[in-house]
Amino acid sequence: MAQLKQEIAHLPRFSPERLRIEARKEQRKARLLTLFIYTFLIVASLPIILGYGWLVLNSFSETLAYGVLPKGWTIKNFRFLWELPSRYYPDLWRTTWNTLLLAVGMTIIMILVATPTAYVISRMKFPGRNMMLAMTLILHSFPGVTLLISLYYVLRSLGLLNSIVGVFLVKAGLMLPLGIWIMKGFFDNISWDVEMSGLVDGATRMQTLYKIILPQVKPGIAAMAIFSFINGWSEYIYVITFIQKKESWTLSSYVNSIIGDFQFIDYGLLSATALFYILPVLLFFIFTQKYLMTVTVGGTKG
Amino acid sequence: MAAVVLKNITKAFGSVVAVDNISLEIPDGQVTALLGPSGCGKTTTLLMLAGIYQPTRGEIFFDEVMVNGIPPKLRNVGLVFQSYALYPHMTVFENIAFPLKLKKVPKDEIRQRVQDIAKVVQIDDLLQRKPAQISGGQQQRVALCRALVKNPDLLLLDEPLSNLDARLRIETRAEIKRIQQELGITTILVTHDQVEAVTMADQVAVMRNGVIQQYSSPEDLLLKPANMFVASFMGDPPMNLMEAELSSENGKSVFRCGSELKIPVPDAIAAALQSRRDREFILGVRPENLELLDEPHELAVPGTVFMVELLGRDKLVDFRFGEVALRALVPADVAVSQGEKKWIRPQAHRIHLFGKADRQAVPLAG
Ligand SMILES: Nc1ncnc2c1ncn2[C@@H]1O[C@H](COP(=O)(O)OP(=O)(O)OP(=O)(O)O)[C@@H](O)[C@H]1O
Ligand SMILES: [Mg+2]
Repeated sequence: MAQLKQEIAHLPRFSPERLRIEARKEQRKARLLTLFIYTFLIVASLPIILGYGWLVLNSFSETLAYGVLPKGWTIKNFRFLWELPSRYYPDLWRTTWNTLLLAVGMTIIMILVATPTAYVISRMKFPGRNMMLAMTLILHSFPGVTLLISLYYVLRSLGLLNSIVGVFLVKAGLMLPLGIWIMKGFFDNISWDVEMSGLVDGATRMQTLYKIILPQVKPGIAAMAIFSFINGWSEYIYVITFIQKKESWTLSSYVNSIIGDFQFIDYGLLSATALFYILPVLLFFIFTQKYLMTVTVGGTKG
Repeated sequence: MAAVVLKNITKAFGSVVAVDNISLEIPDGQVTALLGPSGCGKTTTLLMLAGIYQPTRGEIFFDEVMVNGIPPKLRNVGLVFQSYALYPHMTVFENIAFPLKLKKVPKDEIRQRVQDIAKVVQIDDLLQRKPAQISGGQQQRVALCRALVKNPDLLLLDEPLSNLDARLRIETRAEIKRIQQELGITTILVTHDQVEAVTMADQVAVMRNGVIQQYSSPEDLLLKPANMFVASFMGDPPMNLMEAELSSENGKSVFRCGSELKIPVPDAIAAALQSRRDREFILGVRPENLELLDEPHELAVPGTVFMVELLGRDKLVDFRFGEVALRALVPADVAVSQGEKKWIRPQAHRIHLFGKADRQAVPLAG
């Protein structure tokens, strides 16, 4: 660098020579920056990559050498797919079914409730509207953990302890405000003129909603659906707290029990079940990320 | 086709009165322009006619049928929004076809009608694109097609040409006029461009702050402005307007405009003013109604040319009399230069007077 400076010091400003040297300098800077960015990203993501790599390797290996290194290749860790690991465990497929119910239920309720609610809040003026908006936001900003005990009593008094429905209602209640806020943003982005235009063109209000408004917020609905599905699928704290009965377990209780129940944790089994738990979400995400990306990058421009 | 009547229409948004007690009769099969500065209530009026807004007070009639409360769907109105309001998720074809689809017109007929109308405004090669993939002017024409394709009884155009370039604007203007005449559609054209209003409309309503200032033919708007606002709003370059006090000098009546300008009063005007008490007016005369003479004349004012501005085919000649300016418009080939002495004669029957207090036109004979 110092050498370069010396080299150009005597050159007149704006000479082609000087421009060339300046350009080279810029290129070098850009290359250095790229190098730095890549190094940083690789280092930062190393724990995650190593963690998941270990998980995959371990789920296919016999034992751990020195307690950490996977050793010996086997699929016996996946025995749990066709036989019970021990009599303490519920049927895996039933557990998976419960998890799926929770995830799909969340998705459906979010779409069915958050979308129309957000539309009304975005479009109509009614007394208490601002209050409602503020409340939804405050509700969402409560940390869920602080509600655990009170929710436990509520569910018990309703007879919804130990049932997926109970967890589903709690989750829906806590997630809906966020969904409504997100969807309201999407509806706010659609101009009134487009809606009025629909009416003038001869549509009823309902037709306008279905044919003109909803198609424009499709990316928002998709994002919310994906988000709710993943959120429901990976729910942990409420499931562990409110569901003891084994028939109502979800996969997160299943994995949790593997960590907790054995005196010596069977890392092979743990890795295998964890992989089984993650895989659907991973696949789901890979297939739907296109929608998620349009949302973060381009707002409503789908 | 419909004749439209607005009776004492008021529209308030909370405390904002957007349209204030207007009454209009819009004749069947003609073009009526709503002309006025930004925010004067033009769009609000259109949206009430379309049935989107309900008037706060007053009644709207289509062919003597009161339509207050009748939903937009039943009014068979075509509306081109100021913002075009195209449906972003549909192609141009689907946009134009939308009103027909809702009417359950057979598919083949829809295709035919969309193609026909698209050809008229030269967008037939864009039918498969999305609105985001075409230019602003093209979007505007799509909106126009969508409004026209359903053969509306009433066509409402909210600044339909604002985004077109000069040539396309003239072409589209003629095209709209042609379609309108061919189909005899009652058309209401909202614009803040007076040239557009004057060239396209059979009658023009000038609005300001939600109130109709004047409703008349385009010629009357220019020749007989009802008040000072219309006088100053219409015409380009704008009318010369100045305070004028009627007084007499050497036995002759003159208008004293400021300290240095005295305009002789033509006899007809003097006679018309005889019965009036007030002596103070606003005097208005358009630049094109000022004649420049080389010799003195009894109705002319001597003045020295302050500045000459060439405006294409015309020249704008600027005179200063103290704080008062007079601008005259003369053909570009008239020889006149800065510092030259001229006699300025206002055409007697083109002088406008407005009351100093109420700014309303003072009736002058003729
Ligand atoms: N939905 C609304 N709520 C409150 N005020 C409104 C609403 N729509 C219009 N206004 C007000 O009413 C007045 C008239 O508005 P309008 O849109 O009719 O003006 P315009 O003549 O079309 O102006 P422009 O030429 O700028 O389009 C404005 O002062 C505007 O702020
Ligand atoms: Mg407007």
